Amino acid sequence: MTGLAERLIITSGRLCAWLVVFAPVSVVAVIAYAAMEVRDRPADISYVAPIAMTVVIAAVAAAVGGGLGAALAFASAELGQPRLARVVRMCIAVLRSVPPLVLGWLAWLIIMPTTYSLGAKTPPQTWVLVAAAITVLAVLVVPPSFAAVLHALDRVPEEIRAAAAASGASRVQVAFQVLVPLVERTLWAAIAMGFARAAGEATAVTLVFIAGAFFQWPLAGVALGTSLTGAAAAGSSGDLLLLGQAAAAGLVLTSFGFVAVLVANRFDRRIAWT
Amino acid sequence: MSVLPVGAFDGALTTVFSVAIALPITMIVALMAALTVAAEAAGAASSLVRSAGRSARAVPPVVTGCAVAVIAAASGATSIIGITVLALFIACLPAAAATLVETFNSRYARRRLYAAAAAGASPRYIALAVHIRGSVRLIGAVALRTAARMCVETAAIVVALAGVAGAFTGGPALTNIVAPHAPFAVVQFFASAADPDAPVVAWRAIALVALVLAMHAASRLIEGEPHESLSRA
Repeated sequence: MTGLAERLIITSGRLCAWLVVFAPVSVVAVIAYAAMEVRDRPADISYVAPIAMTVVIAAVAAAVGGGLGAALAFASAELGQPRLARVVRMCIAVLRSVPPLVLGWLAWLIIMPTTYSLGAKTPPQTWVLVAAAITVLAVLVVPPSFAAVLHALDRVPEEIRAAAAASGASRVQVAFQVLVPLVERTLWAAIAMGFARAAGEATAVTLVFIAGAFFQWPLAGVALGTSLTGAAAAGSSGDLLLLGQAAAAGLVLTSFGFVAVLVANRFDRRIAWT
Repeated sequence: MSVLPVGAFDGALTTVFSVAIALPITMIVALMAALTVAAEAAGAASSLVRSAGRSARAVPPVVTGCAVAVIAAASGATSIIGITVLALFIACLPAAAATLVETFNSRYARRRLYAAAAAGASPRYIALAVHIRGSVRLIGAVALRTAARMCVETAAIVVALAGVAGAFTGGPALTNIVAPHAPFAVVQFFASAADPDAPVVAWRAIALVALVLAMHAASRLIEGEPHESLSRA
């Protein structure tokens, strides 16, 4: 290979590296530009309630899903029998394969009619929708949280477990008194990353809230991702007002994500969030 | 809400075309970036590419879709496949690149790299034989997982397509993106919203899960058991 060809390849490699870095940055730049374009025009949609609702739903879902994922990781890696561990890992792998689109639809099929048949048919019943959305988002957060904590447990040297066991500690004591403090920061990072994941999820949550519309339930204060989807879809010919407003909502959503990722990095920079 | 006409495979062709275009572009760019970072030739971008996968989680796909809609609306683009490819590329690139960087910087890849460099291998040999041929199974697994994600990515494409349709045609935009021209997942999203009880919606949901499960299983089969897990067992 000639020096020129080598230099050409290295230069194109560098360009590709910068493209990877600038892909998310350019997304933020574009939506910031779109939001600025419509800043002087009166807003058709208020995003105050959706922002509050998104924070609440995402925080609860991240805590529940992140905690459940961590508990399952501990149970399968440290406490359970190898056969149970295999079953848990297989179930998590299957759960990871279920797209949010299908989870949202399943929520419609399972949670909504069940609640409806239990008598929750008189509006307002927004709490049912919120509970359904939290359930779906928590389920989405479980697999990555499981993988993150499992990865952290893998990084703990075997000698620490052996030393604790040699001191007479049982498996439960090793898990709770030795390993939990060691992977605690990863758990907090997983919850923070779970918040970013849950706050940004739109497909499943939108389907859950649309299910509420079928029952004539109020949709005031639906999650930000849902509002954004609706605003982007409701623009009129040649008028980018709603798209610009959706971009403003997107900026808020992205800022939530950035804060969550910063917090996660503060706890554990090597978290394997896959 | 009107019921969209939905067949069992509506949108499948659009998804196949879109993924067939977006996946090679994404993987080539990600591979080039990862190779440059592994060769420590990327300069200031190195550390940023390493953390790109995690940092990009801050930008949800729905926001990516919004940005693509703005770009498409501003440039007058109306091709469904073009908009879908752009949305998939931007949404999947950082994660794919970060995973490949991690693959090329693993302990085992570094060991191979140092051995080859100590033996006097040329940079071309290191890039092609040490990195690519040595990690070809892992690269294949990353490609399969990225393809699986592209097949089910909905939020980015729905917002991108609906945003463009709303900007150009007016009125209720959702009906402008009719099956079978939209991608499979997008058609399924609108069908689930409009007529969730329909048997065809259930079959399409099963097909989506089966597809992703098969792709994930194939990627696991290709990459094998991770070294760390083997060492612990």
